[in-house]
Amino acid sequence: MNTEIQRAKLRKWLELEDIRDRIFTTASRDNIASEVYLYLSIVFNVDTTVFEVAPWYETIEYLLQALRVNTPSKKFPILTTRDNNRTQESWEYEGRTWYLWANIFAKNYGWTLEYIADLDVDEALGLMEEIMVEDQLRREWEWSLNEIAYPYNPATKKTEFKPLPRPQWMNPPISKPKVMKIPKDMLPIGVILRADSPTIESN
Amino acid sequence: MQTPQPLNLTEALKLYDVLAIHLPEDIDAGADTLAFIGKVVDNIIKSGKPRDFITAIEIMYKISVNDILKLSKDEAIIAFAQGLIENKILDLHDFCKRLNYHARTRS
Repeated sequence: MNTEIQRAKLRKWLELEDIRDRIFTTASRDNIASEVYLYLSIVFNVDTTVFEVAPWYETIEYLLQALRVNTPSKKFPILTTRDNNRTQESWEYEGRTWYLWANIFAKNYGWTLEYIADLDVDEALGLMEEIMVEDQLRREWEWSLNEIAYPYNPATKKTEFKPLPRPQWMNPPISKPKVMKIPKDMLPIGVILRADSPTIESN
Repeated sequence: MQTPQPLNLTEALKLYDVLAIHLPEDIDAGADTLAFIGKVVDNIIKSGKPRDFITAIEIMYKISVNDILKLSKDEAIIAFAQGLIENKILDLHDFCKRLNYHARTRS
């Protein structure tokens, strides 16, 4: 077996990502090993039996190397959030991700399936993010022209603009709360019970 | 007694299934494997589940329970320890923790 790992092109990468997701999150205990074998057989283009007879630590070493090679080289915000509450649509099927991406690229750029399949992963991710951003901004503009976007507030007796929700990855990152000093006279007095410690301190 | 062969991932996870409840939680980064295995043996004895000890040897050496029962106590403990060393039990424990293996359901 040739152990040199080639970075996957888009179609193969999407297939690998689906399997990676199953390995690290959704696969049941009994299926983890077979998903790992499947992942490696696609990466190395060999039969799964090669890994079924290898020591487990060598298999995992190959897996870690393959994951490293196939990690996108930029931190695309589109990859930073994950919707765990997403419901399974009735039109979902195994391997749909590729068709979804191919459809979006073909519609936006008129590329052929072969060309899309052979895209570099970083380029594909960058372009996909730009398509998503453009689409969201266009929908926000259309939303702002619709009267549903301005519900009446009975408390203020005015209509107020309600922006179209953005995907989580488009929202600004949540910053840490600012550390500020509290005046001494505003500090609590008496016995302080700390939630993180069983000890009691008196002020 | 034959020398233990390294297990494939499927078998290694089966071994982990058997031993997981006996593996000490507080492990230092550079923990000594022999000391770790000693604690595993202690935990199996304390748990009152000697069958797990036999099942682990069965998985690692692919021999029958009858053959294991023919071993002396010392031979069994040495076989158990050698098998866990050969199968890098500390690394397996670390890998399964990263996978959140224990929280997964059975299929």
